[in-house]
Amino acid sequence: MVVKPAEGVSVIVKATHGCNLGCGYCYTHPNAEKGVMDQGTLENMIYKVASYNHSSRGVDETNFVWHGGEPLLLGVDFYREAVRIEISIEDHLFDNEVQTNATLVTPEFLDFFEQHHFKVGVSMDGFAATHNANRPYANGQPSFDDVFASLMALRERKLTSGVLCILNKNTLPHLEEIYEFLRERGISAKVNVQFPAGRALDTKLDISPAQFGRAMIKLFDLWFYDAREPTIDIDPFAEILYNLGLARNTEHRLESPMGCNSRNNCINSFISVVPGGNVYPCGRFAGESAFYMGNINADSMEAIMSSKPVLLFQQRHTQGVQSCAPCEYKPICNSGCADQAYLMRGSVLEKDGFCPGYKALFTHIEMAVRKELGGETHARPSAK
Amino acid sequence: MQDPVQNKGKVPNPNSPAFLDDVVEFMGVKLHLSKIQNPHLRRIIERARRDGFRHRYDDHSRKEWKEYSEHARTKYHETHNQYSKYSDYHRTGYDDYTDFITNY
Repeated sequence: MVVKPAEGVSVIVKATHGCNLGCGYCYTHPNAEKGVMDQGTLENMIYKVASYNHSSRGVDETNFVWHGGEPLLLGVDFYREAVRIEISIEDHLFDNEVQTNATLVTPEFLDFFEQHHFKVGVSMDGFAATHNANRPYANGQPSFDDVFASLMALRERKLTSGVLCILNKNTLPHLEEIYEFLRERGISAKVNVQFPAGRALDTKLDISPAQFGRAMIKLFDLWFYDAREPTIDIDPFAEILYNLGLARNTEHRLESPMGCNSRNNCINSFISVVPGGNVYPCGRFAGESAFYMGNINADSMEAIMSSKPVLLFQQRHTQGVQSCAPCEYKPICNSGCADQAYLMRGSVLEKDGFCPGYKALFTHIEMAVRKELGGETHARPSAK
Repeated sequence: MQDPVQNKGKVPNPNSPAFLDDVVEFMGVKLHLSKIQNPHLRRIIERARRDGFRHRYDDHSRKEWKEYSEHARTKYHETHNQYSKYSDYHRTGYDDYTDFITNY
């Protein structure tokens, strides 16, 4: 068994819910806080989480994912302040990532990200037509040209490893064109399905679990059987291959799979902090009062990490989702995303609503890999 | 089929440590890396092997950050007074920005 290294709590920081784009599928909760994170909350968040990771987890490393809304609306000085606070904490390492719409990337931001080792994820939904249909500016103007120019500038400085692309009714009919567009330019991508939340509930751009499964299988085949250079990474395929390969091993078996959706007990690894300091299990739950874990200014991290939502997520982890027990893909899926379970099936104690699509995808990938490996197989371990 | 005598010295010895090092297990199948033709699969397996089959593979970036943060901390203390002045100025500006973004 592979021993999992000690892991600290990572923070998805939603320092503002404001955004200059008007994406039809934005999942931001209607009750999400207005305003921006102030200096005191920023300090409390960094000090408290770093201290908790050190004292309770024995880990001298903390990962911040600066998310939103659009995180670059806060200006470069906000992040200078964050780094100043991080650096003032001795013997602790910090890893900073930004997930941005890339419309506000300035030379000043580029210099700052490069100087302070920030990794930058860019949200870009394929080529101009699909991207502009999904992600226009708030005034309805197309944003693709600005986003693509920023992506190229970020790539030139090796600050970004790829784009985040959403699968919905606008992108679904154009999978081949999107894949070719990305591959020709050597742009790796992570593909997420649209969440049924926030504004997405009104725009009806969501797809069914079956459509999701078929689309992902098509995309996997486009990628997996394409040996042309430059090859690109498409996630979650690379993650699924990795997890599946190691989960089926007799030696070097995987204890906990990679990837946000398939982690064991994700609340142990992620929390989300919103502008006023309220804490939720992850960014997707921000504003859901039933999942309020406490406030970073008023409560200790120990109290936050033993709050009701944590106990509920632990129940999902320890007892497991009943209907997943016989599934052979349980070790690499762990019942999927708790938020998608909550949104689509009404409880985090249920399985991910996209389960049928994922299961079809896992089966397809396993068959494809076994064929590549020469068809020699060992008996599959049964799911616990 | 190639003549093994002609290729003497070129055929890897299946018992040599170098050959055995490249034997990997993936999805319960043990095979030599050279047998894997698919470039994506090969890259994933090589990554798994490089990680020592652990699921985290960022030791290098951790080391880089440690060196960087130590350097930056020294630099920060050297210029602390200057930075405080800058920071006070920045905070004032930031309040204005907060008003802006609140009403965005």
